[in-house]
Amino acid sequence: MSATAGASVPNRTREYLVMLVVMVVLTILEVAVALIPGHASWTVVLLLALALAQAVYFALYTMHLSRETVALRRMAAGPGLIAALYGLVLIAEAAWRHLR
Amino acid sequence: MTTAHAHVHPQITARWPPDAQFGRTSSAKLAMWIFLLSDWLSFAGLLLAYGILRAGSAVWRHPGEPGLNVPFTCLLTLVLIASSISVIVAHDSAQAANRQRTMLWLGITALGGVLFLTGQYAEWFGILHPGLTHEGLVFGRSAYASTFYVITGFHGLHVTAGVIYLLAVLARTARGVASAGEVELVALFWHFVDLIWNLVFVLVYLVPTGGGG
Repeated sequence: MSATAGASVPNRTREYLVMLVVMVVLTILEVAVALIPGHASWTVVLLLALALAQAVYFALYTMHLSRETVALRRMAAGPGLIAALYGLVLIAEAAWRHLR
Repeated sequence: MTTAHAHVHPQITARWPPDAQFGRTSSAKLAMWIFLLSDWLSFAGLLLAYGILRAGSAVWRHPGEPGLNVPFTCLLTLVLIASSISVIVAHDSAQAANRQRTMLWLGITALGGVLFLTGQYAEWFGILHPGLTHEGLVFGRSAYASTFYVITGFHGLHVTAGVIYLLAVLARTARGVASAGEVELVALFWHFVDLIWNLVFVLVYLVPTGGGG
């Protein structure tokens, strides 16, 4: 290895195991929610909330955004928020057309 | 400049003072983030189009079209999640200058990607059992079929690119020329591929199940 190699790296096995467990538990929760019989709309809302939580956890911890500077975090959050806003506008428009 | 300095590796000499906004983040890492964010917008476009089509359809899955195999795909999702952890271990090993361990974990991560792709191939075309294409899920016949193949196919291309990228970094590590920064970049790409898959899994596989198909 070259460049930055050789630095003393702390043992993070426990941290990685926690990450793995959180991700696996979230995935199993998503499958469980999808299989629970009930009101379809609430199932979708719950699934989207779980998927969003998993994506944020992924970005912050496995992609180490939580250790990056505020500027980089803001830069990464921007396109995510834009897509979410666009989605909300489209959903609101669809709901308006449906109610009209 | 002395003779000793003239032979120093350029990656070591290029140490700039920390940037006011981005600290010691390298330009390569910033470039990777910008690429990932633009790639995210491509996926966001596909997923939003899927959502609009799905919400606007009175019947999403037409008679004769097969459902998706959620338990099998859940297993593939867990493989990708595990590979995301293994690539973090590879990055840590690279930072500790442990070449053998870096190669091992990069190899395990690439294997995870190959397993995922094999699973996706089996789902589409079938290996031990008939695939979706043989069961009546035909591209172009319905929005359900087309969005499924376009979204999972676009993601599959990313996994393929990720496996090639991982193997390229592994080869460079074996030759002793890869830096820990390079391993970090491939790890970022691989995490992104995994993050996107979790969204695809929920929206494409689970929402139709929850919504009654």
